Amino acid sequence: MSERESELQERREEQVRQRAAELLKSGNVGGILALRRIQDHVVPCLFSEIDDLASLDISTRYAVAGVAERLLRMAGEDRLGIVARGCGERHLIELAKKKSIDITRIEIIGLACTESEARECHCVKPYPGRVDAGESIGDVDFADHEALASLLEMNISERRRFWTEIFNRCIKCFGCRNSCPLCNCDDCRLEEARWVRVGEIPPEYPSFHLIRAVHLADKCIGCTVCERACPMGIPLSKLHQLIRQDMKRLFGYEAGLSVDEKSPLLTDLDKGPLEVTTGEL
Amino acid sequence: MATDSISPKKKENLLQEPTIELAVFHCRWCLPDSARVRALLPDQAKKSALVARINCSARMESELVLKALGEGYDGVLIIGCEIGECHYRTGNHLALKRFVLLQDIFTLAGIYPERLGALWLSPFDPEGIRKSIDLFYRNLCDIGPFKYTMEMRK
Repeated sequence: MSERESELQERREEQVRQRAAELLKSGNVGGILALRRIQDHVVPCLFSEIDDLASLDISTRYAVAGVAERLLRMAGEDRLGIVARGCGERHLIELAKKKSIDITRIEIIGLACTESEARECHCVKPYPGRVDAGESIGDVDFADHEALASLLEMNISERRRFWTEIFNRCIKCFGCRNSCPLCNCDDCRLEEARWVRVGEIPPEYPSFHLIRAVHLADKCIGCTVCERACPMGIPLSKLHQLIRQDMKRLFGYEAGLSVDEKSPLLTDLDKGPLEVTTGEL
Repeated sequence: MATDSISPKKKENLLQEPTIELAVFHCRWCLPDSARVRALLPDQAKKSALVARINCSARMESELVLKALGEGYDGVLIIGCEIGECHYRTGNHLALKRFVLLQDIFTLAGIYPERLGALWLSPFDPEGIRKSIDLFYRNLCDIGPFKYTMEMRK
């Protein structure tokens, strides 16, 4: 990291701490959820004292939305402050869509990503709705166009060979599912013997990976957490990126934009709500 | 590897003379009788096909399609009511969207989208149904079986 960058990093950290301290002082929130540096490790932490904020860390990209969901469930009526980047905010929006969290109980401390951070994640919107720390670099396009185009150029048989080879590396550690804040179902289909055989690696093609791909098709916001969590280097984010492009082409839908927008897989053909009447027997 | 899921006997058959096996899921409100659906299938597929009645085409979850392919079926056909005729009003809207999405993901993952078919039909036209199924089956025969397949070989 160059000197200028580390200076910038410190300034952003200071801004986050300031805003967090303000929120805690105002009594508006019961605590601040952020990452904390303990020696050389970074863990999610609920800050409730202003003095503790010194150990707050923003250098690591870890999706805390899943932790927020559990915290909010335990906290009763308390409101919660969350340090969130662009992707963190979109996670929260998607969780609110699923009614997993109540977004009105959340106060976001917006953290804008630097250009190098955004480039690493192949991000296209590296800033949250409200920016408290850092400077938003605006809409960018760091998507890995080369890799995506090479995938799209393949014909079906080449593509199948490509993906089977890659999926055969899978050791079924469930890292992709566990790291994903949007994979928050209580009962996971990937663990049910009915759908995916238990205790067998590599998992069968196409069930395991495509079940996850289908489930996330209308939720994935492209944070690339799953890819970073994968110990076998499976380029999951490329698959999800392509699916997201197609969701946009097919249904004109993009995940993570607003809480009121409904997933096209939960509406009828006229984008109206699904009827739940059972009809007359 | 995943191919072990097929029984040795079936594997032998597959290697000698690839047969195309269908999994058919049909809505109970337009075609209540599985035996009648089986009778509509092409002769070569009649015996080996899996014909299952589901309550609505929307009950056809993506997991079922993927599992059917993983279990050795070469094509999956969903039969539902015409759009607008659903017993549950909008069940087949959901199924149609899911079908489009699945075909799309198939293409991205390297599975021929033709392996998944959907018919939205009126129950009063058995000849039409037979023709559509025939067409779907012939397309499948051109593609070949799923497990030891041209998707891999070519």
